[in-house]
Amino acid sequence: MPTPLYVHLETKTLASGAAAVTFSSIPSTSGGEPLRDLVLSMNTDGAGGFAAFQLTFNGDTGDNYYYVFMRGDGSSATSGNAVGAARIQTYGTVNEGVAIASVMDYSATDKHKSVLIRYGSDAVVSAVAARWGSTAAITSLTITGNYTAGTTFTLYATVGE
Amino acid sequence: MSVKSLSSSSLTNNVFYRSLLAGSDPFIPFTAADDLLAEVTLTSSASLVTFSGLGAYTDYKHLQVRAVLRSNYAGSSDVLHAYVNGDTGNNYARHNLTGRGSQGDVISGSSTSQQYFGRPSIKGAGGVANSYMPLIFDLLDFSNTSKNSTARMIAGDAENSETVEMHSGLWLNTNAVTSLTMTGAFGTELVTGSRLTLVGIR
Repeated sequence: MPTPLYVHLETKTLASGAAAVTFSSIPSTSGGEPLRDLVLSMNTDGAGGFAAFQLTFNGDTGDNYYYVFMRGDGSSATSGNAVGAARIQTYGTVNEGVAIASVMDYSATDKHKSVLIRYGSDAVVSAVAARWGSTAAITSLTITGNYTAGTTFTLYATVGE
Repeated sequence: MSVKSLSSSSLTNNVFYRSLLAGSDPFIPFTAADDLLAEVTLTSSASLVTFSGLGAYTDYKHLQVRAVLRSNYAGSSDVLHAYVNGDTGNNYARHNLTGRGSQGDVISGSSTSQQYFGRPSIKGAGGVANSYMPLIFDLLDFSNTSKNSTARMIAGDAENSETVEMHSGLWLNTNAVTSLTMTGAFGTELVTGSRLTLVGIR
């Protein structure tokens, strides 16, 4: 019997506008099986435009994040990076967007946490690679931005052996 | 059939949503159709990792490998070589789109008559300790014998080489894929802690 890959952890749909959404008490196992990657799906709706979205882990807002992005806005393609930032961030002042972020080996305690993000909106298409310079297992994840009611965040984890 | 009218007084929620998705049921992009097929976490270095016996997975339309990889190459960044059915002949073509971080630009390239799918970056031994490079590798229509097999990849390294990368690859062969091998291009081994998960997608 195959093992379903994804475990649905939680879905949050905003009933009113919010500047931050936190998933806390993220488990490292499910049904006795280890969990490997977090997969965060977002249908975002920004209030008057916002800087796409920002991710932090375990409440860490120190300068421990590293990321590189590329983005196309329909007329040009650009890339940039941050070394020792307070968050992982996508770029683009947009209203509506859809993103999928994968946080690899999130519960490992011997690895920095690497992140891949694909993001599209009414204004940009973007990809991000990032690293959180910590070997701590991720137990909470916070998305910050400026989101209107109806914005949906869904968090999954993938099962390992 | 009677015609029903809709008036503002019949609405129970007068919140104005900018998004057509807002207020709808949550978007659930994944289904129970994605299955864990195999997982390899290296407890000692290995020159390559091969998923074989893929012919047993023809119930699935596509395969995916989710991985964090690091090689023993002395530089901070190595390159992944991926090939199928043991074929390292000049039977692959590839394209890439790469954002180069601090250089500010996005470059694209292509090659034909190659020996591997794509060349996404992976972490080298000279990179930051405890750091592995992420990769999501999709192998599409792998068992279809009327199509050449194609692959797409997303990878990146938020360190010295500062790249975020998308790759596509083509294997010019209509044989069903029965094995998939991954190895470092410059390093001789993938190191302990590298993890590769094989996923079946219906």
